[in-house]
Amino acid sequence: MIRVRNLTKTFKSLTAVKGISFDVEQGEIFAFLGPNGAGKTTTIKMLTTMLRPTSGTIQLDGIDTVLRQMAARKKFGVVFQDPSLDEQQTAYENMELHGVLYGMTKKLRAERIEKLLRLFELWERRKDFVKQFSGGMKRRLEIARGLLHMPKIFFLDEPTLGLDPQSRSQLWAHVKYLNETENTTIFLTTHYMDEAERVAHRIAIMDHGELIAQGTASSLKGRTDTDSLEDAFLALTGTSVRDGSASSTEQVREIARMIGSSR
Amino acid sequence: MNVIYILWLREVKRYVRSRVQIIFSLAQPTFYLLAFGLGFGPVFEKAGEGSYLQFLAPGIVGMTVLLSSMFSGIAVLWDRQFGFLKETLVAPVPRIYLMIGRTLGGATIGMIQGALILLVCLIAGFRPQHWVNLVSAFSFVTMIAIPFAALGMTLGSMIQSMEGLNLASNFLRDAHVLSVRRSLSIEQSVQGPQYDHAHRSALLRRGWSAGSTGRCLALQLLSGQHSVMYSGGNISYDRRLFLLANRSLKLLQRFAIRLPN
Ligand SMILES: Nc1ncnc2c1ncn2[C@@H]1O[C@H](COP(=O)(O)OP(=O)(O)OP(=O)(O)O)[C@@H](O)[C@H]1O
Ligand SMILES: [Mg+2]
Repeated sequence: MIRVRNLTKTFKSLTAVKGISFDVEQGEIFAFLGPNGAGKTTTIKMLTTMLRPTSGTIQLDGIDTVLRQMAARKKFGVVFQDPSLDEQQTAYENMELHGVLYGMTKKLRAERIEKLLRLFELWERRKDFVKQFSGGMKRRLEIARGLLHMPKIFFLDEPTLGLDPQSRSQLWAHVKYLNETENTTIFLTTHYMDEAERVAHRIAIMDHGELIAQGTASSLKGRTDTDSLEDAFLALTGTSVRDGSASSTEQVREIARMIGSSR
Repeated sequence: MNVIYILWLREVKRYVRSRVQIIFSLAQPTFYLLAFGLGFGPVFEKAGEGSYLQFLAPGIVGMTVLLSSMFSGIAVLWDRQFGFLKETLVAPVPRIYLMIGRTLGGATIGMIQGALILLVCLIAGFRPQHWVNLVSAFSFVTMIAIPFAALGMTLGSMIQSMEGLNLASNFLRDAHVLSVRRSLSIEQSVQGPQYDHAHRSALLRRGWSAGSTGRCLALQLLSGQHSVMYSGGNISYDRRLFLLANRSLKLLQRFAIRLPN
């Protein structure tokens, strides 16, 4: 379903992704783990056509993302690491806009929106503005929205960041449910090892732009002779802290919030 | 088509919902109307020019449309900062649709603002010479609103950060000053149908040396707007503005291809 070959991305002087290759099968849940700055988000951005690869190829369901961008975009849904909701609109309007962007018919849109908002327990709040939602509700809405057009592949970049344990486990339960009922292929990144172990069929570990290991959680543990995924992760990536400097976009957003501008 | 409509609707909904913002954005042109009306009015009337409000109102309306359209275009910058832009960029929709939808939305907002200010002017006592002229004024104002909404959007999507916004607004101010200078010379070459033009350019120069962007714009638009809305249209001037609008649209087409990524 996802086929990546020698994927490379170079920013000016820094090579964030260094010729990685991997495959993800249909219906599989595939987790990408790695320390801060490993290149996970950069990889997802290339997979979702937000960034053009410096070299290498990506095929989603057999479609090359560079050569046939529009066709490829129809195949996937995505939840980015940073929020991407329209806070000035209601939950329902956000869903509606998404449905129209993806060319869904009115009838299908209405059905799907109701189904997903109910599933993510947002139906009662559908007429509320997103800016009034809690962090957890926003995240749930983003996930519901990403699934609206029944994508074959679903990308999730740290979807559980900042959520409480209840919301996290509930969120993964929903994602698993959709994976099973709609046979959606799921590609996720997370910093929570327990989640990856519980949810993912297969795990890849990335560090400094390279894939250093791939396999099931138990095979990774076996290979490193450790008995938790966390220990396996540390054994593979070392214990030194990576420089996780906040991106400038995040800083600007923070400033904008402080000023209190709404648009 | 649906895509263009829903993006247009989003802009308009956002505008209608932000009541405080509507009032604030109307306060400024109203203030100009009062400040200029009180300041220049008596001088203007003493010089035998007739009602100053009649002279000023079309310019204020034009300025409102121009600035409101442009700023609602620039709001695309906030969509980038708050992340919503990604949602539209990753969708299987050609960029040009996104651009058209937003541009029409921004232009619509500009037009609504202009209509509201026109209402304020009418309450204050402004009367167009012929009501029929409102029709041609409407199409003229549309020609201002659309290119400037698109221009605002282009600026907004080229600017990557808040520092960029400062740079861009400085640039815009300089461009205004230059274009006012330009319009002064155009002004002098066009024979005003009703005014002694030495008077007019003295007025313009005074406004220009005062230096404020808004005032420059108001003065710049006084003449063009005026000729359509009030004195019934000055053909040579109109064509020039039409060409300008046309040229800026062409320029924008070129920009549109280089939208954010
Ligand atoms: N637009 C950009 N320009 C320059 N460098 C970038 C850009 N985006 C990312 N990088 C760099 O690429 C590297 C990988 O970043 P990336 O965001 O992919 O990491 P990540 O694995 O997602 O980390 P995290 O777990 O913190 O989200 C980092 O060193 C980062 O500074
Ligand atoms: Mg990341």
